Amino acid sequence: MKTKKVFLVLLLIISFLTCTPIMAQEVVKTGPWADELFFKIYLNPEAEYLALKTGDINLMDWELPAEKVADALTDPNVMTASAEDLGYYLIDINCQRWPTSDVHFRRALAHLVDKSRIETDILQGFGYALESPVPVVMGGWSNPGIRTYAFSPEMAAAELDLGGFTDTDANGIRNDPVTGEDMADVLFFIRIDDPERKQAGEWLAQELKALGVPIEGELAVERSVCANAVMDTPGGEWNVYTGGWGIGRDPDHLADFYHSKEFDPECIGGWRGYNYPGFVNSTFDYWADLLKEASSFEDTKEAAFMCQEIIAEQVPGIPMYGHIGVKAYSSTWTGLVNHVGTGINSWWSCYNMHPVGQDYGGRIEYGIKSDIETLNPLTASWTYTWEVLDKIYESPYTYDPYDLSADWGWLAESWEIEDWTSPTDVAGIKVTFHFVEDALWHDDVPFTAEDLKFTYEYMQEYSVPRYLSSVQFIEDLVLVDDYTLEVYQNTTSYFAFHYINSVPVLPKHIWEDVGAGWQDYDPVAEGGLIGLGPWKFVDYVPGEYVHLVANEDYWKFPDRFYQGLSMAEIGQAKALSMLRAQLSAASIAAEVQAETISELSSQFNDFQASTLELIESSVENIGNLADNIGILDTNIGTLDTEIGSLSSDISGLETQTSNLQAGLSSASNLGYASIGIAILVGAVAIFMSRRET
Amino acid sequence: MSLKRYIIKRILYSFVLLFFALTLNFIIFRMAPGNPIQVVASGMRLEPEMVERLIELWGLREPLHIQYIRYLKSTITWDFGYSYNSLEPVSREIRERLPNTLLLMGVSLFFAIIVGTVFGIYAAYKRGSLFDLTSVTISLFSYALPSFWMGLLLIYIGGYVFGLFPLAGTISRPPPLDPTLKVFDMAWHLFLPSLTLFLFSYGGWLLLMRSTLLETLHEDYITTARAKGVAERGVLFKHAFRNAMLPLVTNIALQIPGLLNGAILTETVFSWRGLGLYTWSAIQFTDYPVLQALFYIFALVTIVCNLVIDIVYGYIDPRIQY
Repeated sequence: MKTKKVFLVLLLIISFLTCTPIMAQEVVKTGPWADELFFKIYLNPEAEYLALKTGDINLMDWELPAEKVADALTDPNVMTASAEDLGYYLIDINCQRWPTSDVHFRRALAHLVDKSRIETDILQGFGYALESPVPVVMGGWSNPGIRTYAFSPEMAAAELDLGGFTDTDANGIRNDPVTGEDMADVLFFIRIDDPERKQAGEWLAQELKALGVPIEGELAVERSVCANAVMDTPGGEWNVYTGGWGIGRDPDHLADFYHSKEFDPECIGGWRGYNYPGFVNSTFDYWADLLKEASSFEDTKEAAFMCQEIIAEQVPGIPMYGHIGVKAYSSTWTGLVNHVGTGINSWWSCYNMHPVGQDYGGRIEYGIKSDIETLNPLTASWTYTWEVLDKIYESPYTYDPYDLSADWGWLAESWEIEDWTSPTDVAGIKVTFHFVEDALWHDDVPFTAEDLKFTYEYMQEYSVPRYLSSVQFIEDLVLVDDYTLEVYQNTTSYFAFHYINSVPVLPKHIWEDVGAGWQDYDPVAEGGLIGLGPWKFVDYVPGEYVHLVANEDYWKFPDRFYQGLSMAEIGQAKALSMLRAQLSAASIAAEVQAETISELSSQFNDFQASTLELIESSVENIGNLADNIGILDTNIGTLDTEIGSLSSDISGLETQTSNLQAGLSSASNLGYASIGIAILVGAVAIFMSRRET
Repeated sequence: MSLKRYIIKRILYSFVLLFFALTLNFIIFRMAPGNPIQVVASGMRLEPEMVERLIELWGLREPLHIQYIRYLKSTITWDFGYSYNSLEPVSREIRERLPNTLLLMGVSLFFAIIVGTVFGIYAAYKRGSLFDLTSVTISLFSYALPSFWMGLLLIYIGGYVFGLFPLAGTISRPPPLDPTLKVFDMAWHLFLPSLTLFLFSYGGWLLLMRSTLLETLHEDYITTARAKGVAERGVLFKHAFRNAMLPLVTNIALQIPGLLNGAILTETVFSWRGLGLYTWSAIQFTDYPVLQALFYIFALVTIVCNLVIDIVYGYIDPRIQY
């Protein structure tokens, strides 16, 4: 067991080492760089992983379990990257029911949660301990100075003693300080559908029993039963529960989970609010209200910090752990962005990634492990559906994938936020958006600010459930011009600016005809799946795949080589791109041999010089010989009588001349050949040197 | 009573039965734990006023008898409302998945019945032989193996190791454009999941056929037929099989509603988009409208199949009195 733990921890370290370079991947704001995006649906995670290994897909959406990580690390076709997620798993404690209504009892519970053992034995390195309901991955919102509770049965016992829960009759069961009798059973609901929480809950129950606290079995239950027994009975017949939440980039969940107004035991028709632990604390309510209402970052941060401090002191819940997920992708792709809280399968990855060795192009084949219910942006709520829709639709702005608190201009290039008071004297904020002027809908209709105004009004008018929380504070919308919109909200909350960003901008020219029929509307069948995003919809077969292509009219589309070319020209351009890649490879090889070429060139130069010398000397010799011949000609007349005696001399000289001419001819041929070779080599050298430059 | 009166009576009984099934369907889901508002609101963190609006929108605070009348009316008109989970029309979601389920279950059931019956007949005929022992053992073995395990194994070997079959889906992604190739493509994708279900279920048909035929082969009229000199083939098929067929026909009729259940595990393993997984998701998310619709359809098909089989029995079994 210990060997296994060590192995798994080493595995995690190795996976982090292999993953680390991804964390530093620069985010490129132009895109997309791939040509197509193909979502392939795999309801079976095993099949999806096999598809990655065989190359059927090149990006996966789900976290690899430990045994798959080991396999992925040894597969040359697969790369991995790890990231912390925004899940929050905790022990919920009923603050309304005895004995968990006693703060000392709750603190004792906190001292009995062994987070380090949870990390190694349950999460096996694929998770991290949480001390606060605001995890560290949320950056500056997490308060590092809150009270923490080390695992210590002794300190837990001390807390119980402080609360008066002592074993006065020494029968092994602690006594109730109110009645003096043995304590009544603590009702502990443990979720069985989640193996991690089940194990953590069982350990806690064992520790409690060991300290003499009686537990009514450990009521291991299904999620739906827990919903009824715990969430539907806030402050009711339960004491402890293994809970969990998915949280967002803002810490306002602190107020949602623990503000007293979220505790409604009287029930309003079935929904009893998020504060089922029944935590009622006026100081916390003050800071929670400020968290929701403060308009400045500093005030909001202070409120978040105070909320966390109070929660740590009063312990309505014990944060246990969050997950670290290791995700996989194909080694033939690069440019992926490891988004904090999401992982490698982020929006930015699809936006930036491209094949290795190419600047752009290729088809991203993205495996997703769940069916897509619908492509109607107003009814879609499933995570995997939004993996598709957020590539087609845009929100007003975006944020840094490496820093969740940093907002980035996007469709709205810039904005101002000012205080505002409504006609009914309610304090609020006014947000003025300034939009880009060259954005086009996928059907080539220009985008204007009126589209966003229409979107907000539409969602309010038809009470679209999914977006009610986003538009609930909007009181007025003023169109200043085609690219400027003022949004008036009757809340001063710093997060209100984020609320109004949680909407997909809808094209007015399409959705105004849909009207009240939004719930039945099928944008795929009606041809209305039109967005502003970097990807355009092509085809969808339910349960099988969704096909998107790069939107080349996207206002942030990169200056790619073949922008504006026809398909035939794109093919040629791609071929040229391949040739460039090959020449690039050739030039690398050529660089390796540059010295040799240079040396050879030098040798040729020497040879050329010596050949020229030879030619010059030959020419000189020819000149001299010509002179000699001339003299001899002059002498022929006067030496006519001596011709006969000199004829043998002349004949000998002629022979010499002819031999010399043959030699000169060879030399000159050689010289010309040398010159020719030298010129050729020189040309190659010049060409290569130019290419090197 | 004449056959006509018998049929009319059975039809009337079926309507009464259907009414009770509908009512029970309504009651069960109102008594089940869980709250649909939790499903929607928990992910959205709505203000109380917004939650109120949702409750009113879905009529969750109306008196039960009003909800019941509305439910009966909409069910009879096949308007099943909207899924609480996806907010999509339930009838459309069912319609999209039904053909895949019928294809997968129908093909595997068809081959399981044919192969199981044929092997069962021969096993009964050759009782005690090596074939009998082998076929019974193999059918029990394959029945005992978990279907999801078999499916995963087939995917691993057939899809990954040998690369002969696809790893997921009902069609290639993207599918071929030619209609003929599309049919072959679908058949190629259907092979492994239907083989999984076939291996899991053919054993039951084999054992059923074998046991009923063995019983029949020991009847006196079979001995008489042999004594009269009827050929063995005639004894087997004209006399024995025709009588042994009755439980088989009954079982087939009972299996037909099961076609709609889908096979949750097989559909998940092979990423086969059918009703099985849809049902499971609805249970997980306490999706009342979906569950009510599926249970209603299942009850309706079961009642109709029972009615049909009752009528068919009247024709094929001369012992039936009406």
